[in-house]
Amino acid sequence: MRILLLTSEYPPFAWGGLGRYAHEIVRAGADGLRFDVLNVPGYCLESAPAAFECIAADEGGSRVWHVLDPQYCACFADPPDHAAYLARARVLADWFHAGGGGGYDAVYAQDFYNVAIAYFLQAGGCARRLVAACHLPLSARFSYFDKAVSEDFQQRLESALVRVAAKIAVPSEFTRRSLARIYSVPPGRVVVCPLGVGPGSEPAGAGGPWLRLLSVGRFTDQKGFQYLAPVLGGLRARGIRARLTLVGRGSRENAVLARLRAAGVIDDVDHLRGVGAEAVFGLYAGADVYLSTSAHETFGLAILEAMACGCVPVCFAVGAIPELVEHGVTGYLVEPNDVDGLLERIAALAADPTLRRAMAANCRQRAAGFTWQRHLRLLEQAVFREG
Amino acid sequence: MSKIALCWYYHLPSIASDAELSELARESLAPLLAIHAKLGLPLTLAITGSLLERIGRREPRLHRTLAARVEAGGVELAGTFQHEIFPPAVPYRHLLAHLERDREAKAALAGRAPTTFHPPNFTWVALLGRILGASGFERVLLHQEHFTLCHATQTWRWDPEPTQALRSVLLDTTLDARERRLPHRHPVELGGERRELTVLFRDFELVRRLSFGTEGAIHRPLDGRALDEAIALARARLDEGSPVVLADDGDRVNAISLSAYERFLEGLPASAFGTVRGLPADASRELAYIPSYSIAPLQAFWLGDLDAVHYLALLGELYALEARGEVEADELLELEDVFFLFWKVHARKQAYLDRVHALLARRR
Repeated sequence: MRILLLTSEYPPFAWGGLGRYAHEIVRAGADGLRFDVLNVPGYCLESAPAAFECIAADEGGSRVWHVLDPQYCACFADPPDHAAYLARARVLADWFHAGGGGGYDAVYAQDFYNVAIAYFLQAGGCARRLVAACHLPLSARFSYFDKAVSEDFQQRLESALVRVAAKIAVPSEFTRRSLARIYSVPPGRVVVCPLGVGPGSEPAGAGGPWLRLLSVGRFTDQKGFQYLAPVLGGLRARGIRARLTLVGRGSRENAVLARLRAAGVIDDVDHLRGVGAEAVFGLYAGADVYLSTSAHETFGLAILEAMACGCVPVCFAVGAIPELVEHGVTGYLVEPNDVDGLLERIAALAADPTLRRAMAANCRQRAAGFTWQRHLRLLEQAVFREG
Repeated sequence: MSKIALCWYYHLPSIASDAELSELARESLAPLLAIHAKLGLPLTLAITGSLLERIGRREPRLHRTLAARVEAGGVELAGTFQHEIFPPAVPYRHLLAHLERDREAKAALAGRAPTTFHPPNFTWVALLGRILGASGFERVLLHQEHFTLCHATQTWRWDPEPTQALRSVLLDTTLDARERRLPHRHPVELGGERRELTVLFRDFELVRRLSFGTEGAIHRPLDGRALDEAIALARARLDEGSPVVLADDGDRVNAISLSAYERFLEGLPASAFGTVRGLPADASRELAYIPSYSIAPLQAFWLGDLDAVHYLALLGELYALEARGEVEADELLELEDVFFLFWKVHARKQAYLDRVHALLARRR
């Protein structure tokens, strides 16, 4: 089965989870499943290329095309230009098809940014089916109906994606519900395909007198990093010696670091920017507790990766996180905004190495059930295949 | 320094799933109560009667917590309607039924009927004053636009050619913005007996800065400046000396905004907080008449959205069936919930319309 994975992020043009996901499934591969990758960055290019450029490469058994197009990028400017977006998407799809790209069983569109390219590729006969992944529905952040006006364009694209995709892969039940409640998607069209993780590694062992905390994520409001300062301050107040390794960068970076500084706990933090996907596994294995302060997650890949390395998660019980973490068995779930609850659970783990080891073992066992191979099998059977 | 009361309005239509109810409970209402309990600050909640009953069935622990907070005086349960209705579209007898059912739900939880009324979406119809007065309400929250309307002079003008339509023009006669932050008295005549409702206006400028939409300060928890500005505005309002009412949809306090909301509360003196019922509302000015009104975007919606127009027509048909005894009033109450009209995607309306059509099919 030949699949064209259409994405807006792929290494080296990757900034977040989407590029990571695309790379993981292509790298994992599966018998009878061959991916080629068409990467068309648009919204996330920090600076648009000066002129149209296509960089093609072979990666294992996959062909990868990076299409860098200033005209396409310009469509995502503020305000975005929907008509120009459609027109340029058609040009790019025709260009790809004319260059010999075709014969695919399915084009697998990642999120909504390239939905129009996917649509024109399929309509033009490049692929028999159009299927999609929806990792982070726009609606997942909102209880009712408020939306920032600037997101109307994205909302339009996401609506279109849900409408035209024959099947939609989502990472969690929470995500499936989010899609269903906004778009009334028939249940059979949305398939929950939990993400995967590699085999992980054994915890690195005791880290001396310090409790080693780890948080990984982009510095956005979603990640709730404003809670880090009160947590670290609270641990100090309880006499618990802890160090936090904070991995990530993003628009709220200065604000988060300023909070940590103002709270007088910046010295307890090692901030690492630009840690690669491989290196971060070493950090998971070296940490005792994975601290998630997210306000919502549609899966929680970093939590799963931490679990695979025996790093015990302590999280707010929001979004899809309760689908991953079983309270008291593979970590702790705390009510949103309950900093005292976070402190209590971290303190329990700090005080009891036996508990920590037992939970770490549970985490590794639980994470072992989430593999990329399993994810690919689900995709192949329930998403890529017709019927 | 005067007092500030926070009133959060919660509602869900009957077509909302249990997962949506659970999310609302777990990520908004429960942590909101937890924050106020932790800081020892009172608040007012206006939860539609139907949602309160559903919380009792599906989230019993939260229901018990709420009951305990009400009993301890930390929470005032304000009255609203059984469902989120659009009062101008609902007949008098149904307004009464919604009001009564809501009061029963609240009395069942709190042991007493509410005395503060929060109209859904701040939509008011002129006869509500009399209904509320007769039902034992003592105060009502209105949007500040109601104040402007109450003090507007209506005049008329001919539109220019070619339409020459006759158009109503309302001239705002208020000269001082602070007037619209003062409590007023609204007299109601009840069979020869005169009662008074205290009218409190929500401070929309403060709401806009703090919680409204997704742009208010609490939705940007790492933007300390926006929050500081909201706190400064709240302090300035308190210094003015009149009671301050901050009322908004409850789901504005959610997993993203909780921490900033808590910081807002911490940014004001604890002694400044009260319930709406507990506000010292010295209403020296009178509003003799409060015209029917809804906030401008809603008015435009009701006049311009064809699904909304269709909904009103369908309701009319259902009322005709009810008059002939072919459907019961109770069956119609939940169909008068208008929230389904506002959800993002039209397809979501189908479940609601299916129910309407099922009732209409009974027509003999």
